[in-house]
Amino acid sequence: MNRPDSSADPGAAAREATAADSESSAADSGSTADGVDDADREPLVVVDGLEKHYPVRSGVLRRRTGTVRAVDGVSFAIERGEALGLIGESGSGKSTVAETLLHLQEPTGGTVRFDGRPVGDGGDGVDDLRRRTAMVFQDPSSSLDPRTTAGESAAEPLRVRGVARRRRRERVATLFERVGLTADHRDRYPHELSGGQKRRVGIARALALDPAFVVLDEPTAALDVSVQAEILDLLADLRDAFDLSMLFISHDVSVVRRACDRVAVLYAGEVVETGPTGAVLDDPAHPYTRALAAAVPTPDPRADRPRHSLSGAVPDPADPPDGCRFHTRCPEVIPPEDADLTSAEYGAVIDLRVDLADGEVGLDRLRTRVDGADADSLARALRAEYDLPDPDGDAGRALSAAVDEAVVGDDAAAVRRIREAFGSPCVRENPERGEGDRSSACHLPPE
Amino acid sequence: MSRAHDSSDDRFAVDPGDRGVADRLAVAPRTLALLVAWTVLAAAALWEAFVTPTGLVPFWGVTTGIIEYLYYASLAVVGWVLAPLARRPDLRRRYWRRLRRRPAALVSAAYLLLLWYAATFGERTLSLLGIESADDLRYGVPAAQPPAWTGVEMSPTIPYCQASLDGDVCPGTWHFPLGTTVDGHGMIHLIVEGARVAVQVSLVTAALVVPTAVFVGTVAAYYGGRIDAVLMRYVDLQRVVPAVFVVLLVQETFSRSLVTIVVVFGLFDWDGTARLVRSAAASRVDAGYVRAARDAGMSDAQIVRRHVVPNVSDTVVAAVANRMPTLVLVEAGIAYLGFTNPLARSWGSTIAIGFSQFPELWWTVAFAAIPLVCTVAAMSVLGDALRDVLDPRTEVRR
Repeated sequence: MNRPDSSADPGAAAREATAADSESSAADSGSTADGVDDADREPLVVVDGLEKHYPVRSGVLRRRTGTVRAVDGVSFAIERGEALGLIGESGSGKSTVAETLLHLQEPTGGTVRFDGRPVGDGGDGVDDLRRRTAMVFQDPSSSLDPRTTAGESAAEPLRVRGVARRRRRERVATLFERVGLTADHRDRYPHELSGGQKRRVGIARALALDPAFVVLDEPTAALDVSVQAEILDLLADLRDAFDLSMLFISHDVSVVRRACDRVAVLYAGEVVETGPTGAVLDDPAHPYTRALAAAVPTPDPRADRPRHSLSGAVPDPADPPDGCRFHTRCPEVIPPEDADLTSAEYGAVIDLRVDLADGEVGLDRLRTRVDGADADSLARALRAEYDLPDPDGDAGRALSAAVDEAVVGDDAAAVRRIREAFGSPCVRENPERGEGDRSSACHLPPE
Repeated sequence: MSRAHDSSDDRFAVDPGDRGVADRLAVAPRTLALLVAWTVLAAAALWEAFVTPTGLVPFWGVTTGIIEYLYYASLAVVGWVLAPLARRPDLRRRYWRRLRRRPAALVSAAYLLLLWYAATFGERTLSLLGIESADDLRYGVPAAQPPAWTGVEMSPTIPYCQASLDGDVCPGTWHFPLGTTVDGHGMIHLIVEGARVAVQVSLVTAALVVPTAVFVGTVAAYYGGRIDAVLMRYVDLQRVVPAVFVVLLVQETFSRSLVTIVVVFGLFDWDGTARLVRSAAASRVDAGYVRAARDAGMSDAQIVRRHVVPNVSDTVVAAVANRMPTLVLVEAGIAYLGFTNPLARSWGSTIAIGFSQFPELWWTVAFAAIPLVCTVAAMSVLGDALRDVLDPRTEVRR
């Protein structure tokens, strides 16, 4: 375990120390001994309340007129040797989490602790982070410079750290063989490689500095299914061999199920559920996770089609919904206490409200369809379009009034009326995610 | 598998290895050589200016002016650009393989090499070979002699015929194969002189324009925001004033010389190229490989140099290949109009002299216009081909 040259390189020494037990490592790597002691109690990566808000500026004076909340208070931890999967749809902020975590973009809030030491504020933390972490970028093609050979691309981190040319070439040859390429591939240009080979080059590059932690951003996207499987096997193999911790970002639930120990589900910049992979994906506690898990195609043609299918897209992060961010699309949204509505019926009302607020109700389109301009037939068409319920009592009256307002074009009043008449915990407040190994953020009572 | 037996082999400590001289230098060897060459040239220029104002620089052997020093400095830059070719046979083979398939580009390259030779060593070669030598002619170079294989009728503009008259017609001689001008200059000498002017103008200007345009364009694109806005507004400003106008102004105000043309064009004609470079670079600065380089810990300056600049090289080559022939033409135009130093015998001024006796002394115009047209065409063709040749994506190895 104790290599003679490890003390020459603090990063490698610390790396070694993470694999060894604390007593022996504290003895042989003096420079990092205190860090290691501390670190043994703490997971390798601790992310707490990470935020990345982009200002929206407009006008001549470029005044700040809004905020895009790409990542809004994300917390998770990754143990040594653990693979955490981060799943979510496109636009949920997965890649931004990765880039702010590695400080490729400066986070606007929250803290990242790596190996017991905070990152950011001082320059030292970021450099140490760069040295001991690596990222495999999303698109295998665009992450390799078309004018640089595969070998030079893979050797770039070594070059930055001042490794001599010959040593770089040797090291890349070894790495290439390790990831299933040959030394001959070093002199190929990216356009001469297949997608899977480019992906392997990206992985070799990430391993060049012998990192402790690797972030993989959609490592299997844009690859054939058979190649995906090869890459996943390779990653599992490397994880064992190099004793790596991984953050595995994917929108593909089956990939995460296969590669990760734990999983965190991201929606609109927030983690809505986290826990061990099997538990979360087989028995999801959050309706969003249920929908994601159900969206995985099954090979059995007789199996029922998933009931929880999602429509629409992740809400605009510049204007996230009030309350629970998922309530606009949630198939299990909690209906208002006083109205006699099912979740689906309430969902239709919410759809109408969201479209009204965004000005996306196509009144003109409806008008041509009913070819009559009178308010009554238009109101009927609107109700049919959104499949609106007709509840009794106050709620019913409020909805009718709102539809009438919408028909005459007073969207704002209609939105206000619906908001007041149809209150629900999902609309009123954003649920907190509980503490503990398995947690989810939802107002629904646990089953 | 070996992993099972010897896990420490898989776990590298990153050992920097033996760093050779090349690894330890702060700058690449070719950059060092470039700096040395510039220092030597600067020293020679200073020596010539202050120590031997009238005589020759030791070892230099030829009379020089500022333009010659600028030209040699630009040649050093060209050498710097070509240095990787000399060091890497694989690159040489690859480029040659691609160039070979384009006959027009090959012919253009050969022509431009010949032009370069004429510009640099032409004068000396002519005097060594004794071509158009006036040493054994009593009255120096005779005026208005026709090309060797033709004749011209005697007239008041042709006071003297070197060969014996054939009736009323003065035949040409092989002593002046392409004839002479009305003011007594051999056409071959004038072609060589013109080649020197054309090559010096295009090369020195390119050596000034390309670095400026690449620097401004990539920096504007990479940093964006306020830096981008300031640089691009300046470029807009510069575009308003055409470089030709500045050249005429400076020529009339200060001195008429090739140096003025070259320097003014170098300083005021990079705006278009910079704009092209910026838009090409803007599409690269968000590429995955740039973010990957940042993740590897590369500094911004290194990223621009190693990833952004190489990826805009096709744009640069195309823009410069487009610009150089225009420059040669513009210089010829300025010379034709007579706004240049009459001692620098550009093809433009030769054409102007020719037109004063056109069509009687047609050969003066013809033998100055032909190389001018060929040069412009060859530069365009080769520039287009180079853009493809330099792009590694045009070829796939099996």
